[in-house]
Amino acid sequence: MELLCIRQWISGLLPTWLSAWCIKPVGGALVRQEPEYILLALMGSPLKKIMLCSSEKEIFSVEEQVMVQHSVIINNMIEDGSYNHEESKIPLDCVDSKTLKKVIDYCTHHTHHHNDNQEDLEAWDAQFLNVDSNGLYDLLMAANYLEIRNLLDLIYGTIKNMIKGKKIDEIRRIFNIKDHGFTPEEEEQNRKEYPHFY
Amino acid sequence: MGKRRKQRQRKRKAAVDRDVISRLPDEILCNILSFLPTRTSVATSVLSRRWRYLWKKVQALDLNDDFFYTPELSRNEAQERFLIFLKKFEPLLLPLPMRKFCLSCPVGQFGYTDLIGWIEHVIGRVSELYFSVRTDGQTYELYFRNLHSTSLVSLVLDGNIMIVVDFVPTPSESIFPSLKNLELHVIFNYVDLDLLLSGCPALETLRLTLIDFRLEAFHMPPSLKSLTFEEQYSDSEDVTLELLEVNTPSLEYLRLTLRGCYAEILVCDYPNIKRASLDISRKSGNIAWVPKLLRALCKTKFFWLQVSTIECLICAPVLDLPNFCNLIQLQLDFHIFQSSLLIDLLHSCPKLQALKIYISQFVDSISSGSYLKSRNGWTQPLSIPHCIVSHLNTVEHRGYLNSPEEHEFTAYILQRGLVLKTMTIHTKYSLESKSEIYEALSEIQRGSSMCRLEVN
Repeated sequence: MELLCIRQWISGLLPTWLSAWCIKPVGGALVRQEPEYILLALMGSPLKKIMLCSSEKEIFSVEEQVMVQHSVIINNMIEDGSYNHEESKIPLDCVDSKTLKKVIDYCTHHTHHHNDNQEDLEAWDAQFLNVDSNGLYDLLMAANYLEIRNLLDLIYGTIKNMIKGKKIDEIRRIFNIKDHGFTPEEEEQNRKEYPHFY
Repeated sequence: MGKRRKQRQRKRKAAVDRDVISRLPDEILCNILSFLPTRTSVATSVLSRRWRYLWKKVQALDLNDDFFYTPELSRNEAQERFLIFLKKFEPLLLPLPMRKFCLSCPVGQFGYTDLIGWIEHVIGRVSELYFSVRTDGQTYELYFRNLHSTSLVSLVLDGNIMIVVDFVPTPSESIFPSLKNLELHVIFNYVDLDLLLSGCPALETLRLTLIDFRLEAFHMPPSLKSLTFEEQYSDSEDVTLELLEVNTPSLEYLRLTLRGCYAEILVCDYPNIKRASLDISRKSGNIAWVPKLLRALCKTKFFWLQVSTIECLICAPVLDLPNFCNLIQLQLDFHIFQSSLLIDLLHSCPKLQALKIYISQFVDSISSGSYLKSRNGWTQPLSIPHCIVSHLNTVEHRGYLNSPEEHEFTAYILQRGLVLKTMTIHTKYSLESKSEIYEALSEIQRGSSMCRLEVN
């Protein structure tokens, strides 16, 4: 009973000409379309979502617009029509759930906070990259695979800063390069020739 | 500790201890190295076997004259070795793919021709070129006839270089058809600057620092999204230029520092403008068109008006302020606090959230007594600016002199600011004066319960 009242009310909101045309083909016959769906369509489609599937088979739902803006790979998939909204999910076998969640987090934040202060965005980015080296490595591989330019540049910048201005011994410590693979003679030769690098 | 916990801890520790960076593929490591100066990326060859030859695959060169610098060599010796080294440096000589080439070094008369040779050699294939040359006081010429490039996307030139564009590009022929970013901190033969810009149809970002700029008419490329234009003069002679044309409908960022007098400026609407900063000196010609420029910038979100520009506005015969419908942050540098202009501006930005006022006038403690008794220019506004009651949440006032006018204005905001969160006042006065100011302002009843007052 209540549903009928609501439907009548919604019908009242629609212009008459549209109410009259609320029909859709179903199984060869023309059926009256429920007005609430028409109203939703008039208001603008609800934010289209897509589904991303991690290597651990976990599914993440995210706004299509967010991923299309950031990831060249996903943008291409949707543009060339190989992605069907209702049914399929995009399988990302190279990205595990933890990393995928972080990537989605990054893209969503940057889309929604696009107009923020530069300092605020940079502070958020710094906090975002406060992960251990494994996490950073995973993020880098994921960003490279999905071709997310700004995340890639951000991570490149972070790693570059870990190298720039540092001595070789320090860099080895930061990156945990325990075994440099040189013979003891080679290592000694290097140290003698370029003492200022160490 | 339980056995399980120990095991988990050991596993986690082992995971963190792995050398993850060396496991990255060559392509990614080379990309990272391309952001470093070549000296550093060559140094990584001794990090480990994995890194030994990576630097050779890096498609970027970033060379500084400190390339050979060691504590043992003197600066001059290091520079000499560098110039000799450049002549034989493989990546420069061979036609290898190269994305980025950055060169920064001092050069004497004899080295300069070589440098120009290298620039001409790489410009055809790189997409980013950065060239900074410090000469021994003399100015050298760089001819653009040989510098045509379809691959160049970013070009930065800096130093005592005089750029000569000695051919006129036809409409179908651009000097740099792909160039998106151009930065010039050099000397120009000014007729050529306009020619050069007309040969860059895709230009999006332009940064110019020009000294003794004397062009008659100056036209910005219409594709521009970001413009930073700063001109300086070595003598204080009054320079008048005819025309500045900024017909750039895609403009998002504008920063102008103009010291000369421009007879006319041509603007268009900038619907995408986000940030604008104006420092336009108060010359008779400029005063006439500054309001017109403000109207063109009415959609900006962040606006910074420096002292000279404010003075232009004060002197303007008719100030027809537009409605800054998107403005959320406004910074105003006053020489002397002017509440009437300030209120007018607040009326024109209904959505303003942050207001920053910087006063550059300095009153020392000796003359402060008489200053404080000086004329109070405050008149109560007839209507409250909309932003104060609805959006303004941060106010910062630097160089606060505690004049009656400033006090009245601050009190007005505190009383009527219904959503005010912080009011910060910075003053150069002594500590006792600071607490006096704080006391006086704390007594005012605040319109917003969450407002926090701070006096530094």
